[in-house]
Amino acid sequence: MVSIKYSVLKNLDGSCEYTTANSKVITGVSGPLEPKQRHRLPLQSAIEVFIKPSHGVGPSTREVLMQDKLATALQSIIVTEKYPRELIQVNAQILSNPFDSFGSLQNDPFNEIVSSMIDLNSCFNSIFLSLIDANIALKSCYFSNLFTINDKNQVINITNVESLESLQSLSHKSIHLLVFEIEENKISNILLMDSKGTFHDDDIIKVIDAAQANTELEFKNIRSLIKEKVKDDYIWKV
Amino acid sequence: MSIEFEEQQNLILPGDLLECEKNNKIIHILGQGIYLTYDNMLYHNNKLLATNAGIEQYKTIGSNNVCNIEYNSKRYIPQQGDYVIATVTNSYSTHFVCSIANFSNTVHLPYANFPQATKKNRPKYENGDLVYCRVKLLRKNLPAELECMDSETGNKDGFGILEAEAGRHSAVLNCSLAYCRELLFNDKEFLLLTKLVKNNLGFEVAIGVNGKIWICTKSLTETLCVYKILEACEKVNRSEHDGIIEKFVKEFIK
Repeated sequence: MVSIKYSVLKNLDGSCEYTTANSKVITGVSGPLEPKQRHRLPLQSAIEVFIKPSHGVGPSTREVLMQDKLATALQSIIVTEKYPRELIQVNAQILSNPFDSFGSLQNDPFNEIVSSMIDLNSCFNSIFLSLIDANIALKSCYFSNLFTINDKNQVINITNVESLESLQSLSHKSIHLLVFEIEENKISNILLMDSKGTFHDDDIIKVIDAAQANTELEFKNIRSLIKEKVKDDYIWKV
Repeated sequence: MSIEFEEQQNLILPGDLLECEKNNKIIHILGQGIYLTYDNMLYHNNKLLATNAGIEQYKTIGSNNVCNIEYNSKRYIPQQGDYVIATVTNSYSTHFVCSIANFSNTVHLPYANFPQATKKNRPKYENGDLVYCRVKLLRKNLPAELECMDSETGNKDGFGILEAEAGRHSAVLNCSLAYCRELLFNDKEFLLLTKLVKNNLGFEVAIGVNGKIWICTKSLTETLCVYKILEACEKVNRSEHDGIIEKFVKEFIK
C-alpha cells in the first residue's frame, strides 16, 4: 500500500513523493552545493536537514528532534569524504499525517509520539529515494520500519494501519523505529533504533525479526523501482 | 560508451559488491561511482563497493581493465578534461570566476589560459557571458581551473565566448548529464542532431557535459523549434524522435 513517485520536483537534483497508508511526505535533495563559511568542514561534506510539518510553522522542537536523528543517520550513509567543503541539503515537507485533525491526539500520550514517528519513518524512506535520484554517493542502502507492540503482545506494522480510529485504538505498550542498512540485498547493520514505552529484551528481538522480514519484502519493490528509474534515465538509448 | 542494458541487466545499487569483486577479476582503473573501503589501512583485502545506482560497465583499454558505473544525474561535478559551458559570474585581476552548475562551488578561468595570452591583453568578458571551455586542472583543495584553448598546441580550437551574431538568436537548454554526454560523444549512433539538420533546420550548437546545450539559429522560431525538440527527445524512446521532430517542425516552421 506504499506508493512512490521519484523526480517530482524538476528543478531539484533529486526528489521523491512517498505515500503510505496513513501518511504522505515530499522530499528533495540538492547537492553538492557551496555552503556558507560557517558550515564548511575541511575534510567532509556538511549535511543539512530541514523538515516542515504538515500544519503550522516549523521546524518546531518536534521537527528539530527528527532533523537531528536524520542528520546523524545520513552522516554514516553518505560518503561524506567524497564532497569535502561542500553541502548536501535535504528538505522534507510533510503533506499529511493521520493526526492532523484537531483533537485527534485525544488524551493518549502515545498518539503524539506515534504521530512524529510516522513522519520520521516516511521521511527516512523518502529521503533515501531522493538521494538515489540526486545520485549522491552512498555507502549502502537503508530502509526504515515502524512497529508497535500492543497490550496483547502483538507486533503490528504501523505503516499498514489505514484509518485514524484504528490508529487511536492500537493501545500501544511500546513503539519501535528501526532503520536497517542493506548491502547486497541483505541486512547488514542496524543504522538507527528508536524505541518509546516499556518493553523487554524479548520484545526487541521480536520486533527486529518482524522488521527484518518486512525490510526484505519492501526492499524488493524499491529495487525494482530504482531499476525502472535507471531505465527511464536512459530511455533514449537503443 | 555503449550500454547493453537489455541483454545484461547489471543494475547496481549503493553498497552492492561489484561483479569483478565476486569473480576476482583484476581492475586497474576505477571509474565513477566506486568506493574502496578502508577497513584495512594497507589496502589489502579491501572491498570495492558501488556508491551510486546505475549500470555496471567493464572495458579494456590497452592492458588496463576499467570499471565504471554509468549513471544519470542533474548536477555536474567537475572532472579533468571535460568540455563545459561556464557562466562568468565575477572577474578579478588574474582570472574570471565562473559557475558551471547553479549553487555549486565556483571555478576559475585564468586570463593566462586563453590563446595568445599576454599580461596586457585580457579577454573582455562580462558577467553573465557564456564561455565554452575545458576543465584543465582539478586540485584537491582549490577551485577547479578552466582553459579556453588547447594547451598542447595553443590553438583556439573552438573554445571561447558563446555569442549570437547580430540578427541571430540563441538559447541555452538545461538537461540531464547523460543525455548531454550521449549527444556530444556518441554522434555516430545517436543521430538526433543529424536528423534535425536533415529536416532543414540550420543551427549552431555547443554541448557542455555539465548539462547545458547552447543553440543558435537565424530566427527566433527556429531557435524555439530546436529547443523544444531537444527538450522533448530527452524523455522519450528513440523510435519516437522522428515523430517529435516532424510535429515541432510543422508547428513552428510549416
